Amino acid sequence: MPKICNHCATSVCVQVCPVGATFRSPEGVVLVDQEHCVGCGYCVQACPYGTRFINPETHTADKCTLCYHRITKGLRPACVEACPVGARIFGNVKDPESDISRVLRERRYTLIKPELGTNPRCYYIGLDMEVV
Amino acid sequence: MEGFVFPNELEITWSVMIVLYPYITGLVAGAFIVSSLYHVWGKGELQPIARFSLASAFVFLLFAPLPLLVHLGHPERAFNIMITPNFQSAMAGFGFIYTAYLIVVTLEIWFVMREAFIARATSGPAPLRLLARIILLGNLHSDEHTREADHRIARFLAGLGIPMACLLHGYVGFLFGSLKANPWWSTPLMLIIFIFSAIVSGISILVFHYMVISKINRWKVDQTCIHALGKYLWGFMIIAVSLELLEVMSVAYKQTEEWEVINQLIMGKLFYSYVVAQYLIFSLIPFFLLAANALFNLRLKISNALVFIASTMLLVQVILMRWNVIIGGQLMSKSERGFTSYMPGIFEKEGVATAVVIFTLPFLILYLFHRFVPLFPPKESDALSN
Repeated sequence: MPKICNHCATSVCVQVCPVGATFRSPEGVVLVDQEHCVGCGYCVQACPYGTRFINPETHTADKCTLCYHRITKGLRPACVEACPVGARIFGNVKDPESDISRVLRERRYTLIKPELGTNPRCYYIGLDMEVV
Repeated sequence: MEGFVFPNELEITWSVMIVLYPYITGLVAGAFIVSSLYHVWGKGELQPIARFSLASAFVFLLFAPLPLLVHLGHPERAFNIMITPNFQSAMAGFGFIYTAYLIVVTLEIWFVMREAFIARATSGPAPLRLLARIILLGNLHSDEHTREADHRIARFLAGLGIPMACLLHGYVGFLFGSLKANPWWSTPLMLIIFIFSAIVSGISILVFHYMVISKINRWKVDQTCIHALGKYLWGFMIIAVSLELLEVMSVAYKQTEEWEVINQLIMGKLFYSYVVAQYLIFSLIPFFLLAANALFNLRLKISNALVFIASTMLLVQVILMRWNVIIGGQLMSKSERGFTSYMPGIFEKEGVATAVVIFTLPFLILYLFHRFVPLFPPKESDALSN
């Protein structure tokens, strides 16, 4: 099962970054300031989902950015765009008319490791817990 | 690699340097506690190594940030931790705790060894006399009142330094223990475990170093001091190992979800380094050696040998503990369904060779420090200069 960064609302990676290089954008996307990160790796250890890594080229923490450079231009993330069967839905959960809001109202969804209190913002429909 | 491992977990992030860092800060904390046992609590039997303990704590403290700087992806940005600290992060405390503690230890060294610096300022080669005068800020005055003032201030600083030493090493334990993402690390006991094992390593390095120096220089070790250190070491190691065992036994008894993967870790990847080496060999044997020293009236040579062997083994035990915690925790995938593997490189940036160099440097500086001002009582220092 493919997993991306969950862009948690109460993300541990933002909490543990000693220099404040990891932050949550106003849109709710968790990002890394590559010019400020010291490359300590604490956020990599803190992430419960194994989505972060130290980029061997920049020597800083790195991860899925939800294609921030695309979504700020009104485009969809590349993975959503690329999915041939439309299994990925991206949108504004604060907009009750968006596809994502409708799906979350109508379908049962699961979060990954919700017991850790990270409030992940990636929702999985029909998730088989065997693969979590 | 076994089972299901996320792609980002094939290489571990925290390796040899991050194992070395808490080991060095542990030596600092332990050596400082020994020094404080004399300077604050007046344990006279530790007087022969009181000054040496304080100097050891100081020198190791100077080199403590080095493993971190080697590890960082951008060490040139290291001061960001003090310029833009995120106070929600346990790691952000490092810059401030370290700086404050360094100031306290430096000041304590200054007041404890002021008489020795004054003696150096009036004898020996000119460059060393000048250096001593600079350290003394030009004040070579000494009488009964100044000595009493020095002693009072040093005692105050030693007392102030104890919680700071615990904080410097304790925050590392908290850093691991507070990470809910890693079940091998996540325990409130981790902070306490780190502090007590730090004290064990600190006492052990002092015993080891003192006895090696004495052997090389053909000094007679102070028997009361060694016997006392052996007893303290025995007591602290009982607490440290008990806490380590308590933590894993608690998880094993509760049999919560994470026990399934932790059990596989302990009985698989970490069996030889954790079960066999850390506990059966390097905890159990020193326990009995130190018990014999503490409980029986042995001949001096045998008693000293037992304490020396136990100290050496406990130095290994503590580095094994750091290794098993730090590396062991990263061998488990966060899928909780697989394990990766790790073998340290020798000549990599964060390899074994770098660790050996970093660990050796403090001993070299300590030797130079001793050549500058004697770190042992005069009768032994005279033997060295002769």
